[in-house]
Amino acid sequence: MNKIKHKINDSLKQPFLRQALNNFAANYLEARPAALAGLDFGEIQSEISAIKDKAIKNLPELIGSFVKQSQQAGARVYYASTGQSAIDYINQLITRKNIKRIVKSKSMTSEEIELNRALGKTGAEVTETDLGEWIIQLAQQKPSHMVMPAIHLTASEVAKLFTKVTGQEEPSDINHLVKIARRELRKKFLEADLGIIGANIAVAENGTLVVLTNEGNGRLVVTLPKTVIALVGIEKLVPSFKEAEPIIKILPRNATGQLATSYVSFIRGPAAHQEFHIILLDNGRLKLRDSADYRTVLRCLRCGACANVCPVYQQVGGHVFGHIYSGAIGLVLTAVYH
Amino acid sequence: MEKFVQQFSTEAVKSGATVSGPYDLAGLMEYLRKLIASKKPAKIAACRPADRPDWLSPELIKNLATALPDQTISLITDPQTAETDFDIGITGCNFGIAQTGTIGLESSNSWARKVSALPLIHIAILNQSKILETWSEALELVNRTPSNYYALITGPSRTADIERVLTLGVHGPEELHIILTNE
Amino acid sequence: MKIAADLIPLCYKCQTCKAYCPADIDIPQINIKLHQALIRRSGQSLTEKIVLKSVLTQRPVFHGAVKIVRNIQSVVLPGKKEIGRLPGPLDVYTKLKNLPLLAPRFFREQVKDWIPDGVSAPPRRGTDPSSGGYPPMLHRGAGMTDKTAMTRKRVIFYPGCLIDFVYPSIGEAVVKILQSFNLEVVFSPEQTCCGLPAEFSGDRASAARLALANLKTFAATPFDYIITACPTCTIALKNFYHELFASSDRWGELSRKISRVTYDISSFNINILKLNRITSAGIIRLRRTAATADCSGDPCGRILQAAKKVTYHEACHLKHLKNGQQPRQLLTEVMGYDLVELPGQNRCCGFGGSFSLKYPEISGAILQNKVTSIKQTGASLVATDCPGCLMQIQGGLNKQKLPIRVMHSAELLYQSQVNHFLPDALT
Repeated sequence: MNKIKHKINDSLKQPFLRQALNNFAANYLEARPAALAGLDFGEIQSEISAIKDKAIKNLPELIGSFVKQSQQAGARVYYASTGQSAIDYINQLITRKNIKRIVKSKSMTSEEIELNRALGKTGAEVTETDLGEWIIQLAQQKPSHMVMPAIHLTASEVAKLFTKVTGQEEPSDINHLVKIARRELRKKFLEADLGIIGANIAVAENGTLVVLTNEGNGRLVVTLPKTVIALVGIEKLVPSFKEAEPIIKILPRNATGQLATSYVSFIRGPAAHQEFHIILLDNGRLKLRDSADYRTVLRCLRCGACANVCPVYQQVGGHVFGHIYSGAIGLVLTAVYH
Repeated sequence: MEKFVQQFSTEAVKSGATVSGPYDLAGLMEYLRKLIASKKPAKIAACRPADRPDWLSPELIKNLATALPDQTISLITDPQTAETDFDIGITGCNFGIAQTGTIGLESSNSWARKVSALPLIHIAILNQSKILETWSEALELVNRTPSNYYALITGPSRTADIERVLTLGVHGPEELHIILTNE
Repeated sequence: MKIAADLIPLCYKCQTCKAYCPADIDIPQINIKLHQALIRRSGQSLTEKIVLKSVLTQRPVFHGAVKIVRNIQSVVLPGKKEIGRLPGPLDVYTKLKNLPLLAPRFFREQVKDWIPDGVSAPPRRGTDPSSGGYPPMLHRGAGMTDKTAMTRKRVIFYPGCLIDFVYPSIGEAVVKILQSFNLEVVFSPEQTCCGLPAEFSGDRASAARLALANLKTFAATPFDYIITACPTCTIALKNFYHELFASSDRWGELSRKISRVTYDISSFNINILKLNRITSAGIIRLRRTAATADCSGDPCGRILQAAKKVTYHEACHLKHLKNGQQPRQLLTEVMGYDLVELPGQNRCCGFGGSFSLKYPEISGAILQNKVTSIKQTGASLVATDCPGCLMQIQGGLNKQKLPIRVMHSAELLYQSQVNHFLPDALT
């Protein structure tokens, strides 16, 4: 118990983190109603919980359908019952194809199974390409927020990190820093032989993955390397586009108050001359499905709203109030997956 | 479809894109000429009809060379090219969504994706008759289309990861110019 | 699970996350289940075991202990109004907020003044407060519930621990509001803690024992409504007791009835008494008269008199009961205040019940934001419907020596009635 008290006190002493989380919370509470204008959130809750409950109930069929459809489109699909088997699959692929450079786009699922640690042991170079994820990779820290992992760092702290990368003194102008990241990471995209992505939704009817992003790195991770792996938790499955639609609508609105993310990609199979692998991850999800007490956790869309509004989280952030998943649902997911 | 043009334009501008037109082919070339000149690119990439039939017409591609202010700018249309450092990418669009100012790009072809995702400036030419009203209709269309990669794009790439300050132009384009046509 | 063990107690069931989850996941409920699983695995801490199992669930021990603390308090802190600093390591509880003292006379000790024989008689017709009669609610507006409709109806008042031991004047206000509508009000001294503090700490067994003790008091008398003035107690009676006993042969029907007819006073005022349907002809304006007994001798009386601007803090658990704008309507339309919106008015105050004892540093940090927003409104009066929020926020304001008073809406409402009735000769 003492360890957590230390962590709490440390966090509370970081005024920048508290300020950032608080400002975000305040802005979020203003932006969200605008994004939800004309929509009845209660109805959305009823609709999505019904969709998810039904999907959870029919999960085995949905898995079967998804596998068949995506294989028909040319993807290779692997069902990983544990995090370790997913890691083993990826490691074997890396060995077989002699992969040396990997680029990753945001995937909470990959963090759940602690993929980066395992990849580190293969000798391949792994680069996180989401700006926030790259920053904390450079800083060797854990994310403090699900959607904005580096929210606890100031621009000057980021400038110091980038200075180490470029070898030049970098000013803390934010636009400048973003362009540095663009330049440095562009090299990584172009050199990579393997790309790893996550997905927000998996559509069983046609084997499609739906990926919502803002930075554009996801698009490059999927397009440029010769081999691509998508790592998807099985609870992301829905039967058809009809069920995917309300989820696509609510995710950006509830996560950050956006009407739509810059990019919504529907991915189904490889481009020519590419290998596309989809790993469907179980890691205890089917077991969770059997529990009346905890089954509803599988409905989680990973929007991060519960963390945004949690009074405790707003004070101490994800370093304290979370392990890998943070915030309110984070407590639950941590207990279940870790 | 024309009645959604106004809503489409308003929403697209809100998302950080620019919208111009609708033009006929001559007007389109004129506008392109001005736009490209103002950006002073070294290289431009475009997606040919052979690679993406429903996008840019053969006439346009043929005329595209005349849109370049001077001959030092190289126009890259070969999908097998090893070059990736072009400053502008020119594509067509499959549809637009009035509700959010979104454009839809069917891009199973990876060259189509590269042209729209790699450069800092993306010019997207959209026939205004293809503007749909809602996401529901758009998703239905995507669902009906056999495709390995369908991208729905709303505005330029963005991030707020540093101090929550919104910045455009991360890994994808910093500028999205949507040019509406009526031909 | 080991990592989670440290994290699970950080959730204090404010219910905010649940309101924002698009998939309608009951995260606090799942957290409770996890907490129960945790306790099954590694047991409760010694402190929690003593507090919950040996004290709280044994009513004579619990109430006896509270009396002893009150006695000590009157010896050690005579004449003080609040605690600004606890000694030694206990200071962590008073670093960011002051603590109130236990009331010199608990609600349960005063209640016979207002409810002789445990059951009140309908109020006399007289309007002269000096005769001890209770002021009837004024000016029937069209749409307001007629008194005759309420005559002969019986209400059990369930004040809960905070009102009973710290803020009895809120209890008095509620009783008198109800009586002014000709309702018969009942209170049983066998009532004890609602049980939610135990449930939210993962100790369902203790919570169930407390629930049962309260159910027995409700079973002892016929009733039409149960009224509380604390949203957490309302949740306990309305939702939690029902969850516990729905399938019990003996208590199922009673728990269902309780679920149907329990109201916190703000919902009751609005939904049943329909106070906010008062027409403009009947609007009760707050008379700027001398404040009543509760404020005698202290600055709050002057503040109540002078207060024009009031701001409203929405309790997390009240949000859960979904009353929307109605509490504010009472303040503006019925009591005639100018309402200033509190930025972030539905953000938590940080009390969280036992959370403020387990993690006072986080509780205090959350409180500081609330105090800052209140300062920004320029209001001198904060209205709220939760005694827990009241205690937390007043403690934070007093720590910063801000001349801002926090009051329960029910008490404000009562004050506005009594004030109106003071004859001019007494002002």
